[in-house]
Amino acid sequence: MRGRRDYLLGKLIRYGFTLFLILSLNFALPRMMPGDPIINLLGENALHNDPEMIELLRAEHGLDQPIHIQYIRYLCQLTEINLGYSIHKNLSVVELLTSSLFWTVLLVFPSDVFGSLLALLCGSLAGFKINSRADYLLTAIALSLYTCPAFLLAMLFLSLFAFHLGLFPLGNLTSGGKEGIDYLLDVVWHLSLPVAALSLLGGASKFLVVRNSVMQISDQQFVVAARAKGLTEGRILNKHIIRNVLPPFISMVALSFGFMVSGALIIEIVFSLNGMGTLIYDAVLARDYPVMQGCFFILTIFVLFANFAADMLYALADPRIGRSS
Amino acid sequence: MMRISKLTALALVFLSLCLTGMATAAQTEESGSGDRIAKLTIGTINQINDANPWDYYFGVYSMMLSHQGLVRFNKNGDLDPELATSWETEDLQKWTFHLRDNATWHDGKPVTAQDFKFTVDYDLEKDPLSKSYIGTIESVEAPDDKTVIINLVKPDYNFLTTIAVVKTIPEHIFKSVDDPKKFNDLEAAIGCGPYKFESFDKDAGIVTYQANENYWGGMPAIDTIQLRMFKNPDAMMLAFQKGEIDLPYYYSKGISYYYVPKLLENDDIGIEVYLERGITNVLWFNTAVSPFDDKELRQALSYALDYEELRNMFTAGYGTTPSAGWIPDGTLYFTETRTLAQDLNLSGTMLDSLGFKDVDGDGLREMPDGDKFQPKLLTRSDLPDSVRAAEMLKKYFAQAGVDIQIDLADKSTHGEILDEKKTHEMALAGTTFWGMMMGEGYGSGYTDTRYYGWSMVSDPEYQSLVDDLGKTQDTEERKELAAEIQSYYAEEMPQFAVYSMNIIQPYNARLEGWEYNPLHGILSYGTLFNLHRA
Repeated sequence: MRGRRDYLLGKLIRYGFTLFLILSLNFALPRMMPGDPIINLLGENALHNDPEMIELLRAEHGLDQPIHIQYIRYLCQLTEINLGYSIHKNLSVVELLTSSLFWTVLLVFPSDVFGSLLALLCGSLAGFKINSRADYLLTAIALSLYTCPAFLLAMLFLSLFAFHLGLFPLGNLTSGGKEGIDYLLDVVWHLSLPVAALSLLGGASKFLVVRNSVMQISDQQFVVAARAKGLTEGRILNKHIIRNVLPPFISMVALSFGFMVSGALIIEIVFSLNGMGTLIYDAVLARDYPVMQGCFFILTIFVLFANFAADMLYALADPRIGRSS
Repeated sequence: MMRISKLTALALVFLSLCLTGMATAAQTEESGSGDRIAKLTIGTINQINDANPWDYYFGVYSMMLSHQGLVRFNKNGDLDPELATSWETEDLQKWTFHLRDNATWHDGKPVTAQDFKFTVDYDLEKDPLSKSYIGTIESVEAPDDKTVIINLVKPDYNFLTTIAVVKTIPEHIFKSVDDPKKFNDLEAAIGCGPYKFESFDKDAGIVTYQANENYWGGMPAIDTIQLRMFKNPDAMMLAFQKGEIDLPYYYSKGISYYYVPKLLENDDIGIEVYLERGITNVLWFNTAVSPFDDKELRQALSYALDYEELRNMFTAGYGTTPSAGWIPDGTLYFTETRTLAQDLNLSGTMLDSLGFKDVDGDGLREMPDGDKFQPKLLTRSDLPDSVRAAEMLKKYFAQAGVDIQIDLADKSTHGEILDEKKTHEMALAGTTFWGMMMGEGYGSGYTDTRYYGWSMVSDPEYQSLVDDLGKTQDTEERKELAAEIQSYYAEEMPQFAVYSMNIIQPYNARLEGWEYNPLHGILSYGTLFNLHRA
């Protein structure tokens, strides 16, 4: 029990330090990039404004302060969950993040779940029945998807299912003008294609890891012993092999959940969705410091939380981890 | 058996979901009462963030649909009366405008001269961007409800062009708004134009406007206009081919020529090609830095490019190469100057005579002082055609023995260098119709150091021509000045066109009455008031 508590405490301290370090980097990195957000905002008009006016704009966004003052203010604002105001989009960063994050989670969470389940099912089957027709077929499909650029698969889906067959819409999150259950069904209809594309793309990479893990574990002595005891193949796979595949699989899934909030830029662009991917991309191009900082802050929290959850789940999936530490 | 029926039920639910969605998908409604169009759906990749006139693209569409200025560009690029019915000036410094009597805001209140005075004062106070185009206004007076007097700091013949992009805002709404950028209220979109803003559905990416039945110019021909935003131009073109949108629209440019062959197969789609009044890609020299302060070097380099190949490669026959006089054909008082053409022998001879010779025998020229000649060419990394054009220029210059270095920069850095730091040697960047009209017109806004000055020209001879254009009203004299400024460009070559892509504009051919104007493209008043079923 004490071992577990020390393990947890150690992890918490390490995560706290990492969080501070990453938040500091989030502040520094945008400012180290070439380009100036105010000049970017004014564009060609920068030269024709009074320097006084440009300074006023800098002051409005706190960019006239010495860098250490900006840093302290940034940390203070973070403690109040005040992420500032977008320099380019004329909206508060929290407002921008709330909307984008909601749609991103709605897009990426089911994709991650479906992709992971698909990978676990197909990977286990292919790995357990290695060199069978099913293995060849599944591996060929997974490799094709794995090497397929995201935009190509997404455009193929859009062209085939939305344009030619007309089964799905050509983009956006809703058709507009709907309420209640109609609205929910409309959202599901709009998200079906992007979720399918993202599930297949995410599932393909995980499939290969699961397949290889299952294949390696299938040769272990304890699997031979299980067979000798007369256990059925299904029981061996479910009770003995998959259990051992779970730790690396959990780690992979946790990481993908963590990075979930960075959005799926290519899918968002192809399907015209407003998510975190395009929000971050636009902010980087425009050097919109407050939005970049806000997005990276959320991303950091999610990645750290997902890693932490993975650490905890590791201990549950494999009791030896907690004991050894 | 049970499992199969569950799966079947699930499949049926999913299929019915798809079919329900298909049935309710938004479709264009052409049939209105009589010859009217009930709904026009416009697809665009311009992204509106909020229904706030200070949002860049919402501001652009407001100017087209819901807001008005004193004057407006017509299909020929000339200016027509809008809120002002007439105007006069004696010295080009004091301008008097007479407003129409029957213009009202969308909430029913009358549009007055005080509203326009408030607009200019408010813009200058609240919007730092406004300084660049109305910074020359010294004061605005409103002696009565229908008279606006604008005093400028100096005479400016081109002032009407400037004032054409100032959209009037209602004083009674904005007088209590301290920060307009954060005023995301429905009232913020109240204008006095032919369309009223109705709603912005962010998740659907749809902005809706309704015809203004009280518009002073009468009801427009379309009842409802919807802007549907796409992030991906390919998806937008698929939606267009499917009939979900009536018009793919890019502000100030057309579609890529890649789409044309497919569109030509569709009888319901029409395509028009309009002459571009800006220039898609221009090679700019920083004439303030050595060795590009030498006009003969600039001329020598202009002979190195294969303009025909560039035109074929980047425009597929839908473009032009403006002549050495730089100003696009179609501009008022355009004159013919030398045609730009490749002549590597002449280029080499001129470079030799300037002392740029290959001293070390590596096939590339050195500077007259023996140093390597490797000028940097600044290019936007986020514009694929600009990157490709830079690669082509590198090839052409290498054929003339000049080893240019491509300096790729994202939009922000490119802007910082070209607009603020001015540390470029050469740069690739395009111009727009409005940009060519800036300053005193004829591209002076881009050239003259007193404006954007991308080519950093501060030559007194040139600036005197620009100043004369600003204070000359006589038509014949203006014609001569325009010819002189084009001759100057052809001789001095502070910049020259690489190629220019015309505007390829497809549209729903089941509708007729589309009209193009050089500022707003096909979303002109001509279209809004004349569109009807074919």
